[in-house]
Amino acid sequence: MTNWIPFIYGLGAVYLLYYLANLAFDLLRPKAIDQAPNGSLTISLADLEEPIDASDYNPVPISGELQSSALLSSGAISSSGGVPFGELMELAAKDAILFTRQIPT
Amino acid sequence: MVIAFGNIKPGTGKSTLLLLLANYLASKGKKKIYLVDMQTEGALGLLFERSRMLEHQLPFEYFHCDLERFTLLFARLASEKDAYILIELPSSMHDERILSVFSELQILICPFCYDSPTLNSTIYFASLARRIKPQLTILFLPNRIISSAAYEFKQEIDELLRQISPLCPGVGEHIGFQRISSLQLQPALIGRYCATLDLIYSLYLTKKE
Repeated sequence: MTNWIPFIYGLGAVYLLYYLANLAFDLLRPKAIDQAPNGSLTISLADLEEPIDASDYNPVPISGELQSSALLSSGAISSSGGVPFGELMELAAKDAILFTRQIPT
Repeated sequence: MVIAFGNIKPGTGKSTLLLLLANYLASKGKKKIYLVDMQTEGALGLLFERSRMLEHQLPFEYFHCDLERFTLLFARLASEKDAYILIELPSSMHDERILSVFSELQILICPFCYDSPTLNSTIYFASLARRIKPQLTILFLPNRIISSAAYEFKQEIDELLRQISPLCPGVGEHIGFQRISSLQLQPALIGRYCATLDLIYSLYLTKKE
């Protein structure tokens, strides 16, 4: 029959080895994780947006018709001229209807 | 140079985009910048109060003004020859005194979103601006664009808007806009939209100087 003391020593040694192995595994594993992101690709959502083609956005030159009416202007506008303001808004609403009709539904 | 942001539809991003442009122009550091807020209880006013509490050193001057005092304030600001005056127009256009504001404008930036009520209001606003001042440069600026979303009839809408006025590249939705807590924006947020801002700056804001 085995004595209790060598049995406890033996069991203690087995536990010690087990925990040492566990600790060593934990200490070695993070290094492997840390190394991974250096080689990985980070995708920002901003990179996925299409680049802007500046040539599409050139300002439209003001037509000759508008320039000639500007020449007839008698100075700074401080009122709506001959058109009452309410009528101006109605005219704008009619213009807007003509434009919005073009949007398919 | 007098630049206004306007749309009769509230919530299209007038204040935010005006602030973005103001901070962008401030980063250029070439001219004085004045912000004129014509909205009653608008976002800019609240942000200005916060900036004051936080004691931020703003790179521009902020003024709140209504239609009655606009002429006086503008005369004062316009005496500074080399300055950018950025105006946030009121959402309501039913007051005839708005005509005197339009008479001073050189560029009108009209932020909009691609939903149908906003589009209808935007087109009406642009038509009214054209009626008031035919030679005014109007720029449509699409806002809150979600890059992953497909917008129905976007191409047709873009073509239609281009019949009225030039269309700028869009400003994408970004969480940074919801976190604005002062008139001073984070440099990262300005950097995020520098491509669109550079394009507006080089095509429209430097040409008339």
